[in-house]
Amino acid sequence: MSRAYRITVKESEIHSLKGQDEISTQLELLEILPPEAMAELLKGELQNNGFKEQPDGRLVRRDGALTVTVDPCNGEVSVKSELAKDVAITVDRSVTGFDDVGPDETAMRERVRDELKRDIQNKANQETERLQSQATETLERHLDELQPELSRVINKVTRDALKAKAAQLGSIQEIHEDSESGDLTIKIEV
Amino acid sequence: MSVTVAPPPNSPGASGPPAVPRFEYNLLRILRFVLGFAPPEQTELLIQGRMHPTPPCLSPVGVQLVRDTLAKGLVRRLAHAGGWRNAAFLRQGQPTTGRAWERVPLAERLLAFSPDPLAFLIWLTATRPGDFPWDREESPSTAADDLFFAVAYENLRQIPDLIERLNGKRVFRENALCWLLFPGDFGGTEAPRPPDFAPWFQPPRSVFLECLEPMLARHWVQTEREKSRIEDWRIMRRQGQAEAVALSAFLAAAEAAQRPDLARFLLRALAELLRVPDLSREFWTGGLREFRPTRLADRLETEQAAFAFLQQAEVLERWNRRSRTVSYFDEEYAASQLWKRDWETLNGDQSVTEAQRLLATLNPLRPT
Repeated sequence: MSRAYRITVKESEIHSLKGQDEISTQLELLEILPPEAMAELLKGELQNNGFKEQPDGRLVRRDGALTVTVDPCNGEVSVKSELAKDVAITVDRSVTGFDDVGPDETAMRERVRDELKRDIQNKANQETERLQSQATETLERHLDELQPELSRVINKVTRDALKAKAAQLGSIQEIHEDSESGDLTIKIEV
Repeated sequence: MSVTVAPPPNSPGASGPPAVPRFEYNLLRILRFVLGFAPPEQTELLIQGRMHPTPPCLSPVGVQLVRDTLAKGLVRRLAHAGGWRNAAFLRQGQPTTGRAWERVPLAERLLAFSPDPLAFLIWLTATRPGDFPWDREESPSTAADDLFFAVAYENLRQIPDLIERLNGKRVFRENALCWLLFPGDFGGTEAPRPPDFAPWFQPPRSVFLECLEPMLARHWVQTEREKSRIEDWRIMRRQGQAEAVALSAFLAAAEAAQRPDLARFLLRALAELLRVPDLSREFWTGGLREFRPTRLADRLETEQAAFAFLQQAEVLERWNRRSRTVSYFDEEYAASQLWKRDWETLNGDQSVTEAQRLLATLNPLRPT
């Protein structure tokens, strides 16, 4: 006479998951002054906007999951969004076996354990994908805010460079700036 | 009253058209198709249909007909594609004007074939492509072989499902003209590697490029226009990456050989494509909907790949800037004058401005 038995296997793992997205682009700086002088002006303006200079000369600003890096020498900007999370994934499964037919208890337990491991991996993949989407959404949202900010920085650097250039050309008589239209008029006496 | 017409003086027979066995008749029909002188519908069944036993050898008449069709067919193809035009190209650094046969001495435009084209045709006639392998040996191909296989590939790819069976073969994969025409077919890997374009700037291959200029320009315009029909992000990325490496390699070889005139088809294609004002990026990427990447970085990379052709405008513009600095006493003066003339005729400045405007739309931090 066969006897039925029930096995419940439970597996639990902690996974360190990461979602990351990054874009790189180039700031369009006019070559009004020599590149070193333009880089200095850009560096100063970025520092006014909360960027910190790194030992390698690049300027970095971190805001939660986001990191904005600007290389003032070549105007390269990279915006990175990175989310990391430790997730505990627990799965369990019960199976019924018979002591006289089919695989024995150890083999059955092994088989179920393998299946649970696959389930855990699938869940971890799903969670990674979700984290990835979040990281991308965060990046896209941030780009909308960063774009006008960087435009303002470029405008300021261009205006300052024009003033410096004008000062090199002669004596500045008058400077008129229209904050609404962004027009800058400099009168110089050569 | 009925009128009886006299029989033609040369009826089939001893003095009529030469008679060949069925296998060679099929082979000649396939040859006419691969040279572009017959529609695919007439030949598809011959290629995809049942297999025919390969004869131990071809008859002398059959070989003669293949030779004749190959020689005349490819020359006609070159003449028809653009060799007939009264065009200017560089010869020893000097612009030379005329039709291909007027500009180039006969010795530089002779077609010499290896046994490969005939072996390929026998394989195509005898078997269904994919059933039995055939490929070129490691030995270097002749210029005429390269032209034949590029023309053959262009026509054979019209037959459904044949691209996948052919594009893995060395004879096409290592053919620079195939890459210049259909880079997307050969860029299956993450880092596609095009063949060396340098031989294409020496005769007779350079003469082929001269003749094919209008066809190449039309072909690239067509390729760009059809990009909006690509729905799969992965296909667009693969095609764009292959186009980028193929065109970059081609332009680098043209620059090294000091033959910017052979890249004129790109200038012509840019002018034709960007003639329509205010094109948007959707003209290229508007069809993308399947397998959209989650990451913004991957999406941007795909969109940049879609613009691979437009990105070459930067190289052409650099050439133009350099040509403006060449003075009357410099060696390249005549060549630079030809380039400047082409640039002006084909609205180079306008094309570059428009290409730059479109490329700027890919910048995620562009000012709005």
